[in-house]
Amino acid sequence: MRVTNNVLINNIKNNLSRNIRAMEVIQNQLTSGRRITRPSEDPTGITESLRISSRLRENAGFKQNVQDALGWASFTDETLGGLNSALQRVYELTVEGANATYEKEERNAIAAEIEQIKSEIESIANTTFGDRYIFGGTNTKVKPYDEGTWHHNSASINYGIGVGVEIPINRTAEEVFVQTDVFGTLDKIITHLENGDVAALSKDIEPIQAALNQVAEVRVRVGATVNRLEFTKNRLDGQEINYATMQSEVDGVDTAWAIMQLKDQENVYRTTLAVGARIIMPTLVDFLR
Amino acid sequence: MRSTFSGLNTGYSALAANQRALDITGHNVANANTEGYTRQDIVLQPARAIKSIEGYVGTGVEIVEFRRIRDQFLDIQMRTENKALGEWDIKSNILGKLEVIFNEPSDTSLSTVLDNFWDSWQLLVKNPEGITGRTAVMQSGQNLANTLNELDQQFFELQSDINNSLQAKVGEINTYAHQIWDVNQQIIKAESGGQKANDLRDRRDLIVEKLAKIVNIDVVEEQFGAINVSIGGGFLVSPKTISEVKFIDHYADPSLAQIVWYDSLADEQRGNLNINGGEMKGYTDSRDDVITIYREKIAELAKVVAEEVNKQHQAGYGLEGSTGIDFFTMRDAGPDFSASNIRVNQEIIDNLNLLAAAGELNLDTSVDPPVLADPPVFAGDGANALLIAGIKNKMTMSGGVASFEDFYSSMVGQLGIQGQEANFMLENRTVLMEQLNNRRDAVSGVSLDEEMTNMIRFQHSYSAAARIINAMDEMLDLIINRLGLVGR
Repeated sequence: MRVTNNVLINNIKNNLSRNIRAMEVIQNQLTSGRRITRPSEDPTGITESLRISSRLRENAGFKQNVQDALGWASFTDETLGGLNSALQRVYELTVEGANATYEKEERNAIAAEIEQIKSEIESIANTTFGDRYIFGGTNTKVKPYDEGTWHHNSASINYGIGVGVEIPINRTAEEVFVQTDVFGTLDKIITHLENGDVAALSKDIEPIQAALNQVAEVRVRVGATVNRLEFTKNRLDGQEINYATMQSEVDGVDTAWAIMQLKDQENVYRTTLAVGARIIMPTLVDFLR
Repeated sequence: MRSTFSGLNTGYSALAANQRALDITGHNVANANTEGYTRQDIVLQPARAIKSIEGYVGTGVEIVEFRRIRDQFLDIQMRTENKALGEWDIKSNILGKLEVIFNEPSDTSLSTVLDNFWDSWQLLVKNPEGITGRTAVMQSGQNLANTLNELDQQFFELQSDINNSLQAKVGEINTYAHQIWDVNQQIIKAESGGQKANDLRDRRDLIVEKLAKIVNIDVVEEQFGAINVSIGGGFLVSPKTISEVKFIDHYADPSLAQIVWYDSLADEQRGNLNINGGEMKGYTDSRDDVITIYREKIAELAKVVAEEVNKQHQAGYGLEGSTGIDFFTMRDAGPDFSASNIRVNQEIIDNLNLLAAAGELNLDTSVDPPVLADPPVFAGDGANALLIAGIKNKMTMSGGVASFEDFYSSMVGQLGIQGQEANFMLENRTVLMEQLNNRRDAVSGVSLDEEMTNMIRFQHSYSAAARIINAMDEMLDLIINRLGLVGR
């Protein structure tokens, strides 16, 4: 084949632009940290990568929900712990008050203390987490116990903690206070104490015991929720690692490999330039004197 | 008997021929870098011999022609490849722009915005009573609607841009047609004497090649050196006629714009241009097939998102007991939601309490029939918001076999495949064109080394011819001035 000056020059131009394009791709990968920067670079990869990204974002959302649910549940547990101590004290005082040897003044003193505890339990029933009443069911903006009337409902508040997986996170006044009629029992005890009705007081011990048992049972339920949430949290953490690994396998840059490629391309580019400098320069004109 | 002066003529013919040859060499060197230039060489032959008693005696050299060294087959091949190159160049370019519009993978793309939208409903589940969750849903909804609107607008603008380019290309076709017409006429005149008009032909070949990149053309050479150029069966230029092409825009729907044959004298359209190659095909295919498909798919996505969210939203209750309210509304009459025809219900933006987070009403069942109690819904009820958040993973697309995410990611995958194919084809065609260019350059290109060698060759021949004339001169001098001094 007859080779002209323009053939040589065109070849160098084409090869230079091809080399520089190859370098651009690798540099882009290295600086963005992503192997795929546009869909056409790897159509299958991008489909996979988009799905995984979306799963990762969803996972992060669920993790946040679990975290919030855990906060709510452990706060409920703490509150129930306070309720438990209060009721325990009432139990002790009732047993004491049922003692026939006590004087009227002493019973009155006990009644006064129980009155105190009753108002404490009232405030426990109206506990808020953030600005929401935790025992009100979904009626979170209205005081559940107000001057002897209940405003709660027994609906559960559900958080999504997985695709199609929900978990109820609240315990309602219904199961904690109303079923066992805590306030009614307290009122009765106070009245009986004030009247010195020892026989009735002995009978009051049983409902207080029942209330205590009920609180313990609700705490067990809260504990079960916490367990399930912890378990879900671990699962979500594990999934996050899985997805992140998959993501980096599909879309991540193998830095060592990319740098090797870059160096390789640089070499080719430099060589092309050097060859170009030699080819373009001399023609016969340079030697005709 | 030999004529006394015949040797001078032989020398002169050599001088003249070598001078011409040097002219050609100079012309070649001068045009070494001229686009479309074909190297020329001089074709010489011995001049007619004279019969003498001893035999035929040569009388020097004569010029037959100045030859244009060109391979017609390569020209045809280059026209074909240029057509394909033009088409894939444009397609690859437009698909690249689509990739930029979709902007995947990134944190501002539709997939992220859509994920954020579903996420905000999860937030509402956790905060149905507060303004925070409601504002988040409203804003992410607006963000989604805006992103969809913008996508559609960008598709539309890309189609309009394509029409602008098509208009420019139509202008180029007409310009080239006129140039070919002009050169045709010049060539007919120049070649009427029988000689080839080399440089005019170079010019015409170059124009034809440029035209071949724009649109599918057929070229046939007629007698007298003129050419016929036709596009899809219709004559653009013939030795006697020239036609015009016209672009008729359609501003509302860019895909309805037309490219027609046009008679400017009668101001009449003469049917559609039959485009099946070149940049024009790249543009029209991208506009009518590629972009339209993605535009429709995004519209479909917007439609189903809006319908599904609305259906569930209507089933829920706002803080004040409102129900049956749409979350998304249409910007114009419809009839269907689309990427351009979607927005968040203005009523909801004005009154966030209308967001139907609650799943049920607060009914007083102590009376029959039950009546609405106060408050109408419980503030902490986020059951419906949770159902709306769950739409994310419902199989709602492609006839109930794909989620939004499946639908969207496979669409981006499809775009990737198309882009990959176009880039691959473009790369192949480019390499092929480079090779063809080199092959043509190998035949027709000017080699400076070769020209310099020729220069030396012709220069030496010229000197030698001058020497011969010199020798003749001395011989004549001898005969005329020094031979026999009798007559003095």
